[in-house]
This record gives sequence, structure tokens and C-alpha cells, in this order.
Amino acid sequence: MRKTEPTKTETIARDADEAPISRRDRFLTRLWFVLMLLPLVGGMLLNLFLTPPSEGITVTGAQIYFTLRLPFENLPAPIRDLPITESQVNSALVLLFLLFFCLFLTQGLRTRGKSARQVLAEFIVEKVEGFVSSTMGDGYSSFPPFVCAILMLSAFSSLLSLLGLYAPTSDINVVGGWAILVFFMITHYKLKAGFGSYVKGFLEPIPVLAPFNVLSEFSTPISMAFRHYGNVMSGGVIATLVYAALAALSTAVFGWLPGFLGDIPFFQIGLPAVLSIYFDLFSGCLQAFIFAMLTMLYISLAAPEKESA
Amino acid sequence: MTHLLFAEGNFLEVISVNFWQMIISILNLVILYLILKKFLFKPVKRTLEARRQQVDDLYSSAETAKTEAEAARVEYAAKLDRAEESAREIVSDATRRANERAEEIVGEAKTEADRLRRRADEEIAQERKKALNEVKNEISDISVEIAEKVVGREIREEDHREMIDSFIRDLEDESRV
Repeated sequence: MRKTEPTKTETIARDADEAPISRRDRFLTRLWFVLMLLPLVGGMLLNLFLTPPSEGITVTGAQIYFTLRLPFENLPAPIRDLPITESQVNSALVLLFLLFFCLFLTQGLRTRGKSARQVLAEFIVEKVEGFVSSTMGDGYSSFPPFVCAILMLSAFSSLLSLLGLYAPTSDINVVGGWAILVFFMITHYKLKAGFGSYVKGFLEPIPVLAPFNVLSEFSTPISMAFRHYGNVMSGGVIATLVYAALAALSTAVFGWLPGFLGDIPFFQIGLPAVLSIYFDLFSGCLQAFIFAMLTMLYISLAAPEKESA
Repeated sequence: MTHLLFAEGNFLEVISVNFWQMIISILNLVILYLILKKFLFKPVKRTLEARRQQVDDLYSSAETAKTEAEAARVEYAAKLDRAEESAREIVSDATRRANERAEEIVGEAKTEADRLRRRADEEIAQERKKALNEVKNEISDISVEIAEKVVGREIREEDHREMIDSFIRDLEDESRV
């Protein structure tokens, strides 16, 4: 009897969720998944074919693929030249990866969806929103996507080193760019209170300290950039050093083995993986978190006090 | 074998500042912000909003259903009370009517019985009277005959009948007492 005459509630529940997952949804989900992996595979191939083998211990910056030269001869060289390096390429790969990652997560969202993808998507959104509102307070509703962008771009850029690729975050220009953007945002929020009070802020607590205040203003983005860049880059340097040391140790201990056996760096198995978990996974995510946290703190401190509503 | 395109790898210095690379980095961050806003936050928040809306709808419809159910319950309780009341009335009415009818029937039966008995009594009395008269006549006839025999002469029946009748009446009276 109940079957033949569904109540209103049953009808609501049925509309949204008892429709089977359409073929289109399933196809697109797979497509996004494949497209999501392509940048990573492409990056690894690029790395394989374009990176020369290193001789000895070399600590360098990103590899320059080619250099664009602006057609203005009277510009100074640093501005005229745009070297396209691994940082730029890998950043673009991370962007592509994240674009398809988002599309993959949000394909076919349902009101009562329980798929792992949807749970993850909702988890990310809700966590970041909770994170922003707990750090900055209310009234920053446009900030969660920005904070999420910093977190993801930074974390996934650092995590690229897990695939053996150059991590864009170990290039000062990349992190410096973000820090400059954050600096502009901080200044923007400070100017919101009025230009007069912005200038007056530099003369406090006593006007004599003005130069130091200006210095500390500019040191904010620099410290943010160098903290992040230094952590990731030093991880890479230490990994290089450890690899070289382990290779030397292997040669010293197992060099007497006949044929190719003597060339196998046995000590490189195991220890670098543990180091990688710390330097790539933990440090990379931690620095992303710190960068996002500092961004939020500086901006919410810079913002004029909200009129109590 | 590996460095097919670059015979000698050109690398940046560990720290090398380049204006355009910073601009590109800033643009990357802005682009990712837009991507996340449009492709992650917007759809997810829409879904969450839709879910909240749905839950609200469910709650309000549940509320309505509850109110309706309560109203129906009260109504049915009242109906049940009324039904019980009327059932009681019907039963008591039927009982009362049955009693009345029974009394009526008994009364009728009694009347009928009375009537029958009275008639029987009357008939008995009549029969008795008739029998008595017959006996009386017989006795007086016999008496006259006997008397004729005794006296030896004919007694005038008319002369003595009165006397004999009073004698029989006395006998009757005595026998009744």
C-alpha cells in the first residue's frame, strides 16, 4: 500500500539519488583521472629526456630550457630576458594536474553522494573554510579559495620532488612571487583604513622608528619567501649530498664485488626513502601550511577592525 | 642518451632573481585561485547548499506530517469515543426494548392464559350446572316414581315438584359447604 502511494519525503529522496550514475558521468570521471595523471607522466618524461646526468655533486637552481628575449634592446638584461626553466614548466604541470584533479573530484556531485571523490572534495572545502574562519574570523568569505590555492600549489609543487622532478618551490622566484602577491594584499587591507592611518602606522610607537618599520614591512614578504624556499631547497641539497655520500660509501664497501655488482649503490636503498618522507612529504606540506597560515595572519592583522555589527 | 636536446645543461644559480618569473608565479597563483574557486569551491558549495535545502525540506515536511498525524490521531480518538458512546447507547436501547418486549409477551401470555382459564372455568361451571340439572331432574323423576310406588297412587307431579326441588337445593348447599 505504501509502495503505490509515495509520500512527499520519499519523493524528495528519490529524485536526487536513485538515478543511476550516468554513462557520461562515468566517462568524464575516467577522462579527468587520466588527464590528471598526464601532466605528471609528461613531467617525468620531460625530466628523463631533457636533464643531463649530473657529474659529481652539483647544487644548482632550475634547469633553463630556453630563454625568451623581449624585442626591446634598450631594456636592461634581467628584464629583457625570460628564461623558461623547470620551475615554470613544472608549475604549469602542477596547475594542469590541479585543474583536472578538481574536475575529477567534482564530477557528478550529488546531494546525498557518498563516493570517495565527493567526500574528499567536501572535506577539502569544509576544512579550508573552517581553517580560514578560525584563523581570520568572519567576513573573509572570498579567502578560502585563495588559501586553498596557496596550500595546494605549494604542497603539490614541493611534492613533485617525490617523482624526481624539480620542485618549483625550491626556486626563489616562484615563492617570491607568491610572497609579493601576499605583500600587495596586506598593503591593500592596510590602505583600506585610509592612507593617513597607513602612513601613521609607520610612525608608531615613536617617529624615530619609522625606517625600521618600513624595513620590517618589506621584510615580511622576504622572510616568507626565504623560509619556504630555503626549507624546500635545503631538503633537495641534503638529499643530493646524502645520495652522493651513500654512493661513495657503497663504492668503498662493495667496490670489490665483480662486474656490475660493484657499481650498484646498495646503500642508496632505504635511507633516502626515509629522508624523502621527511624532506619532501612532511617539510613540503608543513611549509605550505606555514605559508598559508602566515598569509592569513598578516592579512587579518592588516585589515582594519571590523565595525561591530 | 638522456640529454637529447641540451648538449650542455644550462642551470640557474641557486639564488637568481628574475622579474618575469615572479610575475609568472603570481599569475599561476591567481589562475589556481580562479580554478579552485570555479571548479572546486563553487560546485561543492552548491551541493552543500542543496543538501542543506533538502534537509530543511525534509524537516519541514516531517514537521507537517507530524502535525497532521497528531490531528488525525485526535480526530480518530474523538471518533472512537463517539463510536463507543453510540455502541453503548445501541446496546442499552436494545436491552431496554428487549425487556419491554419480553414483558409485553409475558403479559400477553398471561392475559391469554387468564382468558383461557376463565373460559374453561365457565365451561366447567356450565357443564356442571347442566349435569346437576340433569341429575336433579333424574332424582325428581325417580323420587316421584318411588313416591308413587310408596303411596300407591299417582302423585300429581306438579304438586310435589316444588317441594322436591327445594329439598335438592338444600342437599346441594350442604354438599358445597
